[in-house]
Amino acid sequence: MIRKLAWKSLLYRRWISVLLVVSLGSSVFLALAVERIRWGARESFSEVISQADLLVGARTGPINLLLYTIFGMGNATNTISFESYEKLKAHPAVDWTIPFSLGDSHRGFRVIATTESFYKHYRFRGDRRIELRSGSIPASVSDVVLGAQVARSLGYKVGDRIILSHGMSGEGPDVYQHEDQPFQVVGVLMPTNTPIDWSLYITLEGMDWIHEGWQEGQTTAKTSTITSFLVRMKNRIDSVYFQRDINEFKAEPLMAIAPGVTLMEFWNSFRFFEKSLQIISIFVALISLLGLFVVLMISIELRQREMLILRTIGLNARKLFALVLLEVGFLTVSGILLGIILMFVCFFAMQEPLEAMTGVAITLTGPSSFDVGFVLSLLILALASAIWPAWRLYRQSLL
Amino acid sequence: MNPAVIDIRDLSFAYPDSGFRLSIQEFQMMKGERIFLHGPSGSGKSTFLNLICGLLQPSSGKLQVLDLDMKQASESARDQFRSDHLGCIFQQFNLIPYLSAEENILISSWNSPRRWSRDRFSSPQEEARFLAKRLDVSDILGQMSSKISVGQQQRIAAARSFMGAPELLIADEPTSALDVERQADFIKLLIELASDFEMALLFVSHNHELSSHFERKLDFQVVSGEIQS
Repeated sequence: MIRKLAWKSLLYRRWISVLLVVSLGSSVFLALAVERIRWGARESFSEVISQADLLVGARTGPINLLLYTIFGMGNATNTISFESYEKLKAHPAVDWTIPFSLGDSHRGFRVIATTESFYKHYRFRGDRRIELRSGSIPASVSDVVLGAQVARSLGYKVGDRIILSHGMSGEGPDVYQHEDQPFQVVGVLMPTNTPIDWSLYITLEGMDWIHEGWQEGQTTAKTSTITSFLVRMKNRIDSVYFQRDINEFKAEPLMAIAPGVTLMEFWNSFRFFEKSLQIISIFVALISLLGLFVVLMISIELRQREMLILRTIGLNARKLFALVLLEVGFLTVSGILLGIILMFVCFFAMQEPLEAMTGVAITLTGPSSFDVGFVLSLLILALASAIWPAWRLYRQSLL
Repeated sequence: MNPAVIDIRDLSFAYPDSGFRLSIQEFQMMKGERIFLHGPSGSGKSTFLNLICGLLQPSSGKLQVLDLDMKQASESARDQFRSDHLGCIFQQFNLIPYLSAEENILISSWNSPRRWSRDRFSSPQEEARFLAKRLDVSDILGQMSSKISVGQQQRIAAARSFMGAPELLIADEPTSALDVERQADFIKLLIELASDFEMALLFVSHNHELSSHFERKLDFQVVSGEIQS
């Protein structure tokens, strides 16, 4: 009987019911979406580089090393001798390494000198690898491959010839342009939605080639220094020992960091940002709950007569409460379901454009513990907030 | 079994947060009796009805409705009693707006298995249709109650209160929203059906003109001791 009454009552007030469900659903959607984006941003950030166990550079701060190697921010304070690199690379526990040599730029974009190991071994977002959209990887000293954003911003294509500049300041009268060593674009990378898209890639020999005439006393195109390198161990466990070995390396002061750990540390220093996102989503949900409560109070003023009729035909407190709670529960559950559906539909449709625009990759996984906790507390709060008006209704039902 | 439907001795009641006080020394209503109770508004008639319905509880004294001692009975016992043994018609707005006219008649039978007459009908629906016919509202049974006229609403409410022929029917100004010529018709119908089903009818109104249809007339101010008879 109560179920029948609740259902008919909701149908009778269907527009108010629908509006309530939509408003509640949008707030649930917003809260869950903010949480997913927060999580996605964190994951995408920490997965900018994956599978590499160590990042090695000259002694500096761990975050600084990470920033200039992976994110192209700031500058290396020192270099590593190529000898040391080769020595460490030859260590039997090492699976592969990717060397980086930085310092030049092209129209504000960074030039990174590396080897084919980069195209072969570099991984991000789990197991995604670097792929070419067109052309091939650099083979000769004057070959350059462009990150997707570089090619797009500058409108370059395979076959174009470009001039690299020394340092990061771009063009200007003071900036040395390597005009004698023009490079030829031989390939363009697929978009990765990571900092990789914003750089140009040449060979280590190419880097030496352009500095040949510039650096006094260096005439051979033999690499003497690199900036940093990534290491993958054959066995992950060995990275701890290898890291210690590098930190105590005798020939020159070196430093090795675990990139994943440092990425997370770096991200955590922006905790306040994450927290404020979370607080916003909780406030959004609370405000919509307040809306639900207000609507309940108003509808209860309007329903006094109906409740009196139900009381006079003998409905007891339990049944009246059941009626009110059933209606509120139904509205809340519908709102929550709508919010969840909205979130999945929206992220399903937006996943790729969102990643392309912001580099934040949202993975559509099942409900997280936050989702479950949030949804359950919303339901409990909604039911709890209905008890007081229901009680008033019951007490005030008099002829 | 007690021949009285309502039996009151030295009853008093006061609202906790107001100075209003109702006291009744003695009042009795017999089985099948039909009483016209009149009194000005504010004299405590509504409080009296709330007490009889068990929505309020007396502060002291005896209030017995059928076999139930309202002073002692728990809230849920009073709720149960109301659903089994009482029919109520109010001044207006008697119907649940989101139910059809027929559902509004049947709702008392949903809440209590005693609220349809198994001995005379094969189903609650059959009884509802019978009552609707007697009250001349058969043709609107399928309509939503928010769409039907006030006069028809009162008849639907009457049909609901007759379902299962409860022992006591309380009518609180049920005709005040009706035209003068309809008032007499409605009262006659109520009395006719109440006597057919051997129900006691307590009819409350401030309109003295309606009293001619009743054999026993009481001034509420006399009952409550405000005026000496």
